[in-house]
Amino acid sequence: MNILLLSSGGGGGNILRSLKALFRRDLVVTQKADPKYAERLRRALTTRFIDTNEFSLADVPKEERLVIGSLTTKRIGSMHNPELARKALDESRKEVESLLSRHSVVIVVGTGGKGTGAGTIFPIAQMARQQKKLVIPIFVRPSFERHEVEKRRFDHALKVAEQFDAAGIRLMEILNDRGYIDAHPEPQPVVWERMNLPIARGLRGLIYVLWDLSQVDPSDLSILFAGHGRLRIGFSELDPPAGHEPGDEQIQAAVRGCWENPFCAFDGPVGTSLVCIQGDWSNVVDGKIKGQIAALALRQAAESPYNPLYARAVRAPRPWGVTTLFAEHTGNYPPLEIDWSAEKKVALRLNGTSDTDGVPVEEEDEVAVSPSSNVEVAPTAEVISVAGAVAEAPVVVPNEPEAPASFSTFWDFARAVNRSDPAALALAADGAESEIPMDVREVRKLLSTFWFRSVFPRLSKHWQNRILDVVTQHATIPDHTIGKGRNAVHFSDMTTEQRQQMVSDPTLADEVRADLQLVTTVAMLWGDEALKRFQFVPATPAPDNSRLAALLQPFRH
Amino acid sequence: MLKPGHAQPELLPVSTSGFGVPQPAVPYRATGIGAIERSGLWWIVPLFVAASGAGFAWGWKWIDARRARVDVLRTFGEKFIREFEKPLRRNATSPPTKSRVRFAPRRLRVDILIAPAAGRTYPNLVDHKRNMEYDVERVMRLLRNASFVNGPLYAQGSWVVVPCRFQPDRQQEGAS
Repeated sequence: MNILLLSSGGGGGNILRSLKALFRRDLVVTQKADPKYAERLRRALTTRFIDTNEFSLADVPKEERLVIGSLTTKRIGSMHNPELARKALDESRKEVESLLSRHSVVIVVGTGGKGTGAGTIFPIAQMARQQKKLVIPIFVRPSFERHEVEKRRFDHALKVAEQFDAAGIRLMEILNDRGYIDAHPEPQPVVWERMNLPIARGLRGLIYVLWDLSQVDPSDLSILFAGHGRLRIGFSELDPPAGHEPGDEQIQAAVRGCWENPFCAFDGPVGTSLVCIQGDWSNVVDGKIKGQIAALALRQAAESPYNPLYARAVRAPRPWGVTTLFAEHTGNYPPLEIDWSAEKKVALRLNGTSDTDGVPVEEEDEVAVSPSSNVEVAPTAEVISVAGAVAEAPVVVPNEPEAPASFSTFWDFARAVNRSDPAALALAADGAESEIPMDVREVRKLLSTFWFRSVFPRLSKHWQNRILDVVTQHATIPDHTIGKGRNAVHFSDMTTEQRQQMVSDPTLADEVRADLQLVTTVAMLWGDEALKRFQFVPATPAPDNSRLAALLQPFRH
Repeated sequence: MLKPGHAQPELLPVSTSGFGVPQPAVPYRATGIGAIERSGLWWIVPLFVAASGAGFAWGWKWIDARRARVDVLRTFGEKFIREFEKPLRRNATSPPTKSRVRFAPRRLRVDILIAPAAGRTYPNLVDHKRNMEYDVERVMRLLRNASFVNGPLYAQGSWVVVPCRFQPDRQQEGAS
């Protein structure tokens, strides 16, 4: 995957500098362990600084500068005028479009402070969307209360965000206001650094995942970014010493850190989300991370639309951690049309003269590496193989309906509905004649997933009744007793509140939790009345595993 | 002066002997007075009813007009505050401002008082005067109500006062 990191204007440039510095540090670390991998990673990322003022780009390498609107602004800036900046972009539209066309993922960063960022970030994102790129805009809303800008600039920044909403482009909106804490006054550069760091570290994790599409299904990404609303990025370091697993407290702190990013505007419930895990630890740790993030998402609302996508950033250098990208749930939307074929074009170009550059590893870094070669990169087998692999990735063609017979299992069908496959949606709307087999184990597994909750409302009554029939007729639920003493209660007697409280109880045995999860989900999707259709059978008593029993164990034989 | 229909006053004996003669007490309720008042009521009552009716009608009209004025002023004040707060409410977890509206219906004047909520610094006229002036102009432009004219802003404690005057004639002038 070829990723373009693009800044627009001075404020966006500052964030990009911070992000680039972090990425360069990573490359130095990776270079030590795996030079070939570091080289591939370096080439995957291109950075460009767009500005109307060439003087503000003086410290940026020449090949990374893109001064727009030379005639319109005479290269001295947009005079704090977003409209002038927009005209400058129009003047240089061809260059910008050409730059965007060479990448599949475009991360564009801008601030609403003065002219260039405020005037160009939306048109750039729109250009990228028109070219069917996966675009992640990051826009900083400045604070007028703290005198960063005047109120009218602040109001203009609000209008920029509204433009993104109207165009159905998801936006990561950073609120500078939240960087000020009256109880702990700090210098402005410290505040900005504190705000930039989670974005930079979060994007770093995201880049590792986006770069290697083997870790994430492209169609899932098409759903994640579909529709309007806000994105919230989070990152937490989770970096145990070599050979050790992170402890429970560390995991809890990391999950909390990922969940809370107070600087991001985000009002609605968490919908489809990406959780990227970087770190060579056991799957038990992965499970805890996923479970605790899900618990936080589900705590927000009883019928949470949380629908997680999990990815692992393979071979990511230390410091390890967890990156999350939460999308605000604003409804169900058809997946975006994303053209992943840019990878193929780049691969072909790499065989000749290349115009990809990547993030250079600077000579002054602690590890001596070959100097930056931003142009004329000699093709390597590694690069070609990656590009080739990506080129084979499925291209999403949502308008081409599939034959209903292609859904051999109910699981496949549900997944197709989740990614808004037209054929699946047509079948979901009726389904009376469908012969897709339903296996009770498969249905139980589906009901335990979060993403199925967003699929369920899209299924017709016929489908919903059929699922309930399968579950209630073929699944027997042991009537477990939960709690102790007077508080002990049977599954069959539990209230909705009790079920919701108990389902996140970490002391529950796995099999009990699975049954409780099923009962809770059925009650949530079909209502409490549906539980009457279950046949609760007496539960087999759990083995006595109390401390006393453990102490007496040696005397039993 | 005697008036027809009124009873003659009783003539009391006056001594000429030089010493006082005890005078009989005048009865407290002279029968003739009651008769005079009752006979006058026939025209006072309708007059009173008519006057009360007229007064009531005038009062009702006055109250109605006052209520209408207050409604116009209140509606404007509320719309102003809503528009003023709209950008500040974006992503806010609590109300961004405190607000009040006070009226002087006779003078067709409404004062909109806005102060920052706890933990906020805007609005104030100490360091946000220009922003405040811009914001008032913005809101007035958005409301598109030519009948209201705002005066210069001033502070009253922690409140910023936006004085506005209702001038119905301006609406007519502006109407085409």
